[in-house]
Amino acid sequence: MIHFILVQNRQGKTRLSKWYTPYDDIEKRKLSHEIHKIVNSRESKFTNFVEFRTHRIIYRRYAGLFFSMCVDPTDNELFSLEAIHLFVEVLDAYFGNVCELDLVFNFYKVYAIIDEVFLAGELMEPSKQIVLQRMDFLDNLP
Amino acid sequence: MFERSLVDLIRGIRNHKKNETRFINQCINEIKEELKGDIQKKTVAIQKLTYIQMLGYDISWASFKIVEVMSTTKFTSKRIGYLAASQSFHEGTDVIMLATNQIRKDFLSANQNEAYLALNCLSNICTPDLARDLANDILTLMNTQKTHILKRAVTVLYKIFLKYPEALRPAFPKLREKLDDPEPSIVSCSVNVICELARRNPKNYLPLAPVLFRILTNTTNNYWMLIKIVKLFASLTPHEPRLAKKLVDPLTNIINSSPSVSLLFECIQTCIVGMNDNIPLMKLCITKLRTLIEHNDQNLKYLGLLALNNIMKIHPKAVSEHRELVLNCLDDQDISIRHRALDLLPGMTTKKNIYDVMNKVLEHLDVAEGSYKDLIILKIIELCSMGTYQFISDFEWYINILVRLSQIQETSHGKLIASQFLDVVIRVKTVRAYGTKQMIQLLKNPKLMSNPTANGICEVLYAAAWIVGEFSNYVNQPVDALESFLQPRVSILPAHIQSVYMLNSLKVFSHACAVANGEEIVIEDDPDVDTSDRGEITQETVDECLQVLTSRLVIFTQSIYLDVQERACFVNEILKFYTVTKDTQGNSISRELISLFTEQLNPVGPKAQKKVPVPEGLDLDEWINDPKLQDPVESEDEDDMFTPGGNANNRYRDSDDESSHSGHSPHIKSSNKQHFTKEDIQRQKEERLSRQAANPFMLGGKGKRTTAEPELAPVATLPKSFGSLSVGTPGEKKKKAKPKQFVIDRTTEMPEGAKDSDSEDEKKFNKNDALGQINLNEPLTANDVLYTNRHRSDIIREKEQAAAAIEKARVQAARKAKSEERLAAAEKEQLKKSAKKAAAAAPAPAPAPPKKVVPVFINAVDDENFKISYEITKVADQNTQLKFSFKIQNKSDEDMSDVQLTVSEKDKEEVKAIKSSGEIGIMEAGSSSTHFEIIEFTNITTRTEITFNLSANPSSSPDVINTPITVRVPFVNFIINTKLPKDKFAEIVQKENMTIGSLKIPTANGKLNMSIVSQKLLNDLNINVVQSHPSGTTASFYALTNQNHHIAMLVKDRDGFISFDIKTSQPILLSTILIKELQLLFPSN
Repeated sequence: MIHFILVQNRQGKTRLSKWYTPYDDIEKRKLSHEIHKIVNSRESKFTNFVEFRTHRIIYRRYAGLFFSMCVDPTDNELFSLEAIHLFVEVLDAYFGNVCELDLVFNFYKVYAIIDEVFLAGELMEPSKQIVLQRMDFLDNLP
Repeated sequence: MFERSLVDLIRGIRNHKKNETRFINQCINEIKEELKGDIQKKTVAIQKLTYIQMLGYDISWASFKIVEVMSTTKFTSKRIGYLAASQSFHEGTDVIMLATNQIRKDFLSANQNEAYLALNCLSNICTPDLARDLANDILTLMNTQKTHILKRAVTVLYKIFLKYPEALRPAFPKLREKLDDPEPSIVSCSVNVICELARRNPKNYLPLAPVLFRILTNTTNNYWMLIKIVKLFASLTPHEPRLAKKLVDPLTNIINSSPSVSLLFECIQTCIVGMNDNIPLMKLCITKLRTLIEHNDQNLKYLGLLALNNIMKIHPKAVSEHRELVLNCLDDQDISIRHRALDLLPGMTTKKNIYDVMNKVLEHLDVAEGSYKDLIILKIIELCSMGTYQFISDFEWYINILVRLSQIQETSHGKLIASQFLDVVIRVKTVRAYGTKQMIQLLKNPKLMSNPTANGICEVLYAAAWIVGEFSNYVNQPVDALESFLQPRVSILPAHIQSVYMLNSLKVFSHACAVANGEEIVIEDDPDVDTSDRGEITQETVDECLQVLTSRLVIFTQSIYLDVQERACFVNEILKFYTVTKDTQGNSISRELISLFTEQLNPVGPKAQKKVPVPEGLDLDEWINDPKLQDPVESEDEDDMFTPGGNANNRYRDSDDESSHSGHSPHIKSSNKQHFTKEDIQRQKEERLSRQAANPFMLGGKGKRTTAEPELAPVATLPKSFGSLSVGTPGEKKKKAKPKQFVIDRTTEMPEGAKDSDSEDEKKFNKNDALGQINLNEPLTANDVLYTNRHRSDIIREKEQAAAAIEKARVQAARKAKSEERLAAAEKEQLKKSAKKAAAAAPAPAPAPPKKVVPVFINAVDDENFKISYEITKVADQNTQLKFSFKIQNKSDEDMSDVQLTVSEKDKEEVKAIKSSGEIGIMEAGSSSTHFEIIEFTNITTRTEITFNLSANPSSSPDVINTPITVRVPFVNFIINTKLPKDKFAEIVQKENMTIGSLKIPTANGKLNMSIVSQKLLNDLNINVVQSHPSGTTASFYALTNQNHHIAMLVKDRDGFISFDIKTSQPILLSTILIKELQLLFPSN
């Protein structure tokens, strides 16, 4: 399962953090910091997988943003990588050529989207279309 | 008053990059004010807090306000509240209690969107309490038709199981049901949850294999789900070999054809785990992995190596042909790929290519940095020491490698390298001479001492010093060696290394003395010792040595480390003793000296200490002395402060055990006594003994310590007697044969009585994993219910109802008892007693419950044409009729026509066919059909079996095949379950004119007793107990046939026999059927 999903920019500012395993605030801060240090130092030619403590970090960089996902070592790395890509595609379709500022100012919408795609550390809905339909529906609620 | 909007806040934060914290604190203060306002203001404030929380600020103080916003009715506000809760609540948040009810309310809300929010939130903040309280509501929610809610409910179930494992058993059937859901996304979510669950306890989910297999073969395009299914099978297959066989085809298909690499990779992983004995499949996997490794994509390369590593663990040699490919990966710029490639090296190394592989790895060592360097060192040693050096044929080469590794300054593997030196030199006797020479070089190397840190490279000196001392018979220039031992800079080394230096300088000196005095020193194990220079050691050399020692030891006798000081003083005392006595005693003193160190050393098993068996009658947990009475000084001494690392896995192991101290301790004591005669000798003694016990560097009976060896070393039992080691013969011929034969001593020492098993190392079951311990294959019991949280008044009402029901039952039972009382006036007394009992337990069981007939098909015919099985059931309301159901299978390879099943001619007269399913007609080859006949038995007394006839006309021949089917009709079918009161029974027995018969069956040593008999009679013959004697040895039984024949029995358990006295109103019944039935029921073998 996914333990957490982080979206950070190159300076290490968190743009999204979703924790599926309970950590306390101090630990969350520490983890975010460590993850940023790890992924930011990796060259683009490197693999997108990093062993991290007893888990694995699957990350991918889109423009200035790092999308990182902490998963169990038994999980399929490519599956996670594709899941990240799916999420980014949904964001891109929803915001229309998404950029960092979209995520900053609409952070609550991003959380809504992530809740449509992932839940409880599992990929729940792999269909981009269904997610977008749901978002459309939710946005129009009073 | 204008409040900051969310956009204002975000802009503000972006504009205050330099003093962000101050700005945010200012905003938080504003928000605190806003939270006192109306709900709209609160909502905005909470949304802003959520953003601030994401940046890493604490907002736990606002938890209560968040719950308030959660409970608003407006969707947009509620959503903001729930988001804040999901992001900031955790197990320690106290208001979660308050949230429970809000979440439940939203679950059950008519508005599905509220349930949606509640589910999202619960998936994030689930605590054990929430899980217990809400599990039942989630199950209720799973009845919904809305896909998006159902998907969430199924996924959240996993969280519930994690936090509240007790929910798994009662909730699992519902989850299982969702695997059959027509909506693929629901199936996918269920698969996700089961996949996670199966990792913890695969056996529980084996029964799901057929369903999962169906999903696997029917799904084509949902790769996400296929990956999870294949992963799920990886958990299941190791527990069910048949499943693995079945999976081979579909997985081979996917591997060959799937366009999705992630799915391909998952299939390969599953094959490796579950189907690794299928060689063609493994070959296919390896081929596919090769294409991945050769791929330009670094990710695929990495995964390919990872999977190859998994194969290597099972088939170590399977990957060796890809050696070049893997070695190339060592050059990759990505460190994770190099890591994986290094992991693969052990699988592709052989005796022949180890030199090439090592050269390649050593190249990398020169350019590597940091932790990668350490990793390479680790791998080199792992590779070389594998299987107790099975690949190494030239140990001088290996010593050189280790020496080369010792040149690396910044490593944390100093101890490892040191232990390798020790191990190799101890195990391979022929390399000792070479090793000792190299070690002297190491001792002289100033770099090793430049920056001593614990576990740094200076640890190598520990090994070097020990080897030079222990094998000082190979040391030709003792002065030189002693000078390097006693360099002033040695004093900056860690204490345990210095201690070793001290003692081993004495060893070198002793050997020099012995040689100079012409002692007989025989090197028994190695004829190749280079002794050509031995002649140079003369009395002058010894004097020189003595001078070096006495002049340089001074700084060590004042060492700040107690252990070093003690040893230095000890050496000093011995030297003094030597100088004083050498003139008077001459040779004998050097003999004495050398005898201190002549014990043979063997490697000790790493677990030897642990395996020392506890002597019988010794309780380790019991105090030997009362702890209060113990001297505080002693307890301090017990700390093993001089042991490097000080833990159980310490590589430097001490071979001294308590008993062996006796050998030389008197010697030490006597030398100490000279100095401390005025002291309290008794206390000294105690102190010393305890120090000896704790101190690994103390001289013991065997004189010296041995060292550790790699974990892979085999285990040998401790030899009963130790052969004594004699030291070098002067003038022995040097004959160095090439190639050198290196013999590896692979044995290790173990304490006597140690067990061979490694059970203590077996992986222990994780007791904390409550979810993994739940067994789903047991049927649900009354305890497996979900906790339901209801209103107090409901609970009270329910309790009252339950109490009322019990009361009612009691009244009824009492009434029934009374009515029976009236019926049976004669037994008034007894019934009163039983009525009381019955009232307490259950309503009196006046009519016996109808016996459940489990339909069982019994084989009747199985020949080349037909397979026929039958089943007999009673026809409701018709006591004399029985229904015979048949299953008929055409086993022949031709079609049959005019298939007919009828009662045979001879039986037609006695029974009456009431109804049948008619002619069967045509049966194609291999097909099956069913047929039934309802037969009325007019005379049951002779009918213990009935014959039917199946006639059929095969297509190839004109002859009709007749197949007789003989069916035994058990007598039980004709008995009507009757429970008879005692008085009636007596009446019948007296009134009726009955035939008497009897039967005796041995109890076979008590295997048969009254309770078994009555149980069997009831179950198999439908005969009920009328009355049972309290002693349990006598009972009366009664039954009524469908033709109103009475059957009465008195059964006694006496003298090793069960005797049946039977009375029936139908004589033939008794003689032909009943006795036979009883004999069948209780076979007296």
